[in-house]
Amino acid sequence: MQPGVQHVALSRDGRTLGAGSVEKPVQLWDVATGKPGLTLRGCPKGSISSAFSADGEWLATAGGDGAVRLWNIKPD
Amino acid sequence: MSETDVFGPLLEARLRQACADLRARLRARLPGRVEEVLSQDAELAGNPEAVLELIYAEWTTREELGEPPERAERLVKWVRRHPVVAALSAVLVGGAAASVTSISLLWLRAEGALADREAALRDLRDEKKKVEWNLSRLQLAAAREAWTADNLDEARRLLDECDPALRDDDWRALHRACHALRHVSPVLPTPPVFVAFGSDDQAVVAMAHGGAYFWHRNSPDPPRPFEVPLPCHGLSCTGDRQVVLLSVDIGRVDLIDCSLADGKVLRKLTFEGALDFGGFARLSPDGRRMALVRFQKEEIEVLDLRGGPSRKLKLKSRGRPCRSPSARTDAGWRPSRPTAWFRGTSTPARGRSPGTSGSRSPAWPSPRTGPPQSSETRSRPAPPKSCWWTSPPGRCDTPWCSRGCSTWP
Repeated sequence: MQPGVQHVALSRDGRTLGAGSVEKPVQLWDVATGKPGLTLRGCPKGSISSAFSADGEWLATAGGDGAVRLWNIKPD
Repeated sequence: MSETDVFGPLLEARLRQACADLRARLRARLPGRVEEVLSQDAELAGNPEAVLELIYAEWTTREELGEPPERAERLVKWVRRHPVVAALSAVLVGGAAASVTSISLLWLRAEGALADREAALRDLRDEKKKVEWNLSRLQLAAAREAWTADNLDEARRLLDECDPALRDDDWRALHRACHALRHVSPVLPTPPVFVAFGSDDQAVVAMAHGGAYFWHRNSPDPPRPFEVPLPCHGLSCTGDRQVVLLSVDIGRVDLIDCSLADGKVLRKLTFEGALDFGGFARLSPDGRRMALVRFQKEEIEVLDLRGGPSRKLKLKSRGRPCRSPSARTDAGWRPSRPTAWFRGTSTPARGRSPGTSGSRSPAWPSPRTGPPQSSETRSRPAPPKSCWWTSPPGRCDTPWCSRGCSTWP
């Protein structure tokens, strides 16, 4: 786990964990294997909070720059 | 003396010489049958006329007396008879032969040069492939560097410029990472601290200091603000147009049900003294459950906000399944039913957390048998009309929500 995690979010199915902070981008993790997944870069000032959608395909982050970002995390 | 007596020996001698000449020059030989006849019939051999007749007869029967002259000899004779034509033919044949020879040599030389050029071209192509591969690697590295620096536009541009034939798994992984960001809302006046999806996964609610913003991700409209009555410490969406706000203030936990349509407060529920000795509360993503974490207790209390039983999860379970308050093992969430303290069967003291009345919590239903059918359950009193989420708005007589219910519309 990256240092300085300030918020975490767990998907509804419990398979994906998202963790981030104002310094680091949101990193997705596979809960079953513990392996890191997608890294969501594009927040210049990091993120303050995050939430998964009900179907687990979207992640919303509250950025430190005041914008809300929606990420499509559906695997290919 | 007759003519036959005079020319007979001469003719015979001449014939024998002709035969010898024929044998010598043309390597001709009489058919075996003629020689055989001559050798057996001495009289016939001594009679040139008979021999001539025999030869004539053999010739007329198309039996060859000797082999035809060779082609070279005939050619020599033909050349002697036609020297000009032979010379021209020789020139033509010689020129043709020289031409064919030189053309063949030139052909072979061209073939060699072509093979050399093809080999060189093949080497150049291999070198070009290596250069293109190295270039694509460099471009991918540059795109990754741009992506690391949060410059998604530059990273996407560099990825799009990569040769489609050289796009491998690394390119696809980076492409996916660069295109994961789909929507960016306008910058809110104050940085949002909580976000939540609506039940349809289309609406997004962002909670900031001093207000909340509702945004539809497929709508071009900017986020719409609405007022929030209390400082927010948690956020969840229960429906398309409803949001539950969590506010914690000096041990008191407030749950506020707001309408996203107009920002109006629909309901309010207050848990007095739920976190008297410190702690924090969290809402589930669907807004139906709330977890209370108290610093002085090594357990997490989960409250079903729809009226179900509360659960206490021990923090030091060491991997064992979480247990319900009735000590029955259950690893997952169960269908909720009204809790004892919501039904009014338990009357905790005012200012006391409702979850602390764990001894009065109903038995956790068995996963196989469903809700218990005990006499206590069947004879439990009906929930109050103004209970949280389960009754129309009105004044609630439940002690711990009397303050909040007083603000219901």
